[in-house]
Amino acid sequence: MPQQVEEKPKKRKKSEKKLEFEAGKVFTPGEVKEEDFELDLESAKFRAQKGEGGDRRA
Amino acid sequence: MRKMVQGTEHEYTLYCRKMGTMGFDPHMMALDLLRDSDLHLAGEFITNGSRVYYDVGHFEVSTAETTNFHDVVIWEKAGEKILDWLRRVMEEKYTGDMKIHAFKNNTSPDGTSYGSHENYCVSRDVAFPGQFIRDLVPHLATRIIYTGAGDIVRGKYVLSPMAFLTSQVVSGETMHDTGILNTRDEPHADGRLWRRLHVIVGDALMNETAIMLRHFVTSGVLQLMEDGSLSDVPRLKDPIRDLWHNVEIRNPEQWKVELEDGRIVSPIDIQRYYLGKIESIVTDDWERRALRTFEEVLDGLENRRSKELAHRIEWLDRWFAIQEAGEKKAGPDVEMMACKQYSEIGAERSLFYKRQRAGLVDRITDDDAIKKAIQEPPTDTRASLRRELCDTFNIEMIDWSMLIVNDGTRRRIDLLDPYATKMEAPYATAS
Repeated sequence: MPQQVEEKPKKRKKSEKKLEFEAGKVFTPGEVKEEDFELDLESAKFRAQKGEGGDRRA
Repeated sequence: MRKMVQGTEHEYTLYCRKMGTMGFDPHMMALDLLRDSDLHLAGEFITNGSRVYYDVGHFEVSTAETTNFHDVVIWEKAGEKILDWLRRVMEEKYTGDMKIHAFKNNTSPDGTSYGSHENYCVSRDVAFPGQFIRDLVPHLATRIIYTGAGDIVRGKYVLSPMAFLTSQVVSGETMHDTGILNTRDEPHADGRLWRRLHVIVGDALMNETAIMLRHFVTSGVLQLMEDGSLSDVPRLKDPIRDLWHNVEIRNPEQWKVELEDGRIVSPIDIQRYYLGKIESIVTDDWERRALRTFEEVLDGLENRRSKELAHRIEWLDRWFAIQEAGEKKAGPDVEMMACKQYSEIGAERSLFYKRQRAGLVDRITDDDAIKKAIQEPPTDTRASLRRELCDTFNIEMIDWSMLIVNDGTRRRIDLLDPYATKMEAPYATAS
């Protein structure tokens, strides 16, 4: 028989999370120094595992 | 336009020189950190309604259910920023001077591919695959001219890596021999009412306008299909042949598509057909603005205004970024470096974000909206209901359309309506 979720048992308190999201770490374009920007050879060398992308038939 | 539940999935690739040493895998570490953070909700879900998990060597983010082409951009960008935050935490805590790179693209330099998929909740009444082949394939086969991310694959610059790597018109595969139309049928909803159309021929995009346009046009086409309004759609004779031809050509004058009756037209003409149809269903200012952007993009391609268009079309901007890098720095790997570094998500390393800061890229949202979407789900879909239930109950098991609460009993709650923001009796079933 359909049952509405009306009773609301108290949720157990989650244990303290160790890490808190800090927006400042990723939204700080003002702190990026354009003169320090460099092309990085590692970007041309990394290898990924095959994922859910195609692979053109020969 | 009607609301249409939609979202994206991205397989992000992380790389660090330390990988492999002592079993260090930044993908797994990022997930561990996320699950031990205040962004974690339950199981593989996070507080903003998205699902984050490890998938064949990648850090995968599936966005929460959104209902429109604007919100999907915001929640996709939120997922990107969450991973960027985790990357920075890992660098600070664990790898020191050794960088961790995080890429939002579809191939590594050796050509290995990984996916970025779109999902659209479409009425089951639309005949599959027949009507999709007739009405949607011409769109998916030609939209690359403005949705392509650009990439270097097998030594060639291509407009869209995923289109370049597609081999079939229809296929159920997602890793090899993939199709323009994918037949996967996992609705994550009431399957009698909805199909989750899984589009796997799209690219990982950095550019907000390109993501927005992709979803505006594709969801518009799908609505028109639901309405049966595309019976006069141009029919393509050989979509894969044309896709393979156009994907390697940057000059719009050389693009071509052959119709079933033998006429040769441009993919721009095919997209203009959809533009005209979508015009009849736009109703509000957001949609009118998106429609105008779509029209300007097609006009720009026809008139070869590439510098201007690069603000909105990623394959063009990436091409310019690669050319500029080559002018400043010599060496055999410069092109590949620039190509891949464009897609790094870290603002201090990403060529894309460098260009966005320089005003070379148009935005359609802002950081405040993305910050909010990092913590909160969309308010007009099942994602908000899922969040409310998780905040209320102890969760024993959770998936997109179902959760089991543990409150002494084991109650199963089905969430079969992706648009539902409140519990409805037919779906609040107990077992």
